[in-house]
Amino acid sequence: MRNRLRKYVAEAAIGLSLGALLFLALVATVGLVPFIYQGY
Amino acid sequence: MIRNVEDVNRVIDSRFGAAGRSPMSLLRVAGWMIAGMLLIGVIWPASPVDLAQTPDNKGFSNAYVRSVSLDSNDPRGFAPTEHKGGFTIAWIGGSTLRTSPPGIKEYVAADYIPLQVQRFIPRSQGKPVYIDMYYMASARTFDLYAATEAAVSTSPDLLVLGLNPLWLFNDNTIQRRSNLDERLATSDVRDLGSWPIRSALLSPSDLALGTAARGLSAVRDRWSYAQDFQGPLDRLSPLDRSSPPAPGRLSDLDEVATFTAPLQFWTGYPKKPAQAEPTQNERDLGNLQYAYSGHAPFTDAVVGRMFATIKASGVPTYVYLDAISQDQLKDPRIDAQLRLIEGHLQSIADQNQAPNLTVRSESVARLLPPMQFADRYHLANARVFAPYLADELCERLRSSDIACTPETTGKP
Repeated sequence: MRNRLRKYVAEAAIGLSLGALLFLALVATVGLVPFIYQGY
Repeated sequence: MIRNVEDVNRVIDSRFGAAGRSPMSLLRVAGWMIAGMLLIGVIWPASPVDLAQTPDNKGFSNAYVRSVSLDSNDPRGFAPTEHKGGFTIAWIGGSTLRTSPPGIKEYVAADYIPLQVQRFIPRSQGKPVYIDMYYMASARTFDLYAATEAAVSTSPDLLVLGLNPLWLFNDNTIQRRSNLDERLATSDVRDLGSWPIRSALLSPSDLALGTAARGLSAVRDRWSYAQDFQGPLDRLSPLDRSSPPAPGRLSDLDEVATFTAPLQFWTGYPKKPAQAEPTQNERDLGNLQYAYSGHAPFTDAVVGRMFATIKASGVPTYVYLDAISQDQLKDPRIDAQLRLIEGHLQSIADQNQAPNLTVRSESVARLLPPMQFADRYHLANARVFAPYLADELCERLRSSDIACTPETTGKP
């Protein structure tokens, strides 16, 4: 039971972290990083 | 004790309950990822788009005419809004939509041709006329196609499309705004005929992001988020933004010392005598020959799809070929080269004839009395062009049984 709970918490943490990372990567590639911004 | 990879796995599994070890677990991780993105959009929405603040709309304020184009990095592309109780004209074009006094190369303090035309057609069917400009400086043919798809999806009352003979059938340069790809990848996918040209330029990531953008505002509005981040991040930047003094004239040796690659030296030295500059006529002819060499399979297909999309939409549409400065036409070689482009446009228009589509394949330069130009391709003012266009647009509307009378008739 405890192991399962641990698993679900880990899954949520990994999923949310990946979501945040993906969000930051997507934001960075459309205008946050100056050299990408300049180079269309 | 940890001795090998198996032991590492065992320790990780005991700490994290074997997360990510089964397909179902991976699916749950993906679910949390999507939930996280959804949450960002809900608890922290991006700043809304303010069209009045976009560079294209700065310098003039008009309640009825404005550019709906967003930044050329913004995947949303355009931000048209519904004009309730109004008559909406969607007007697509490149830099030739603007006029500027001769000598001003930066089209900043400039005027828009649609702005002038709206003064001749302030009302249609008793409703005020609004013009949404899909203005894209240096727009290429694929950009115009993407804009046409976007404009047609808003069901405007009239669509106007300005084509530039320099880029229309130029297979050397077919796209400038790849930010429109994502939007195009998910719009009207049932239009099977467009798949060959879409697949030539769009990528799987455009499809994936376009699909995600439909449900997740964190993905769709990411350009606005980037703007929100920009300010605080700039303050952290160690980049020296002070303006350096303008360099004085360097001696040959000092100039060589500034080179950063050997190639810079070998392309400049030994110094060759300056070659005779080509004449203006030679340059103009060269530009038009570069624009169309008699074979442009890709842009042919794109223009064909553009007309097919318009035909299927049923939206009354007026297409015109931009003017080039009229003194160019005095050279019979330039005249013949332009005729080649015009004839080609007409042949594609003939294949896509529709009651809602009018294509004026002859360049405006031939149809109108002498006009003042800012340079070889941009008008200095719309004094002659605007009343002519107002007349043409009303004629187009009347053939679709829509009442329209321009304030004054400007047709020569």
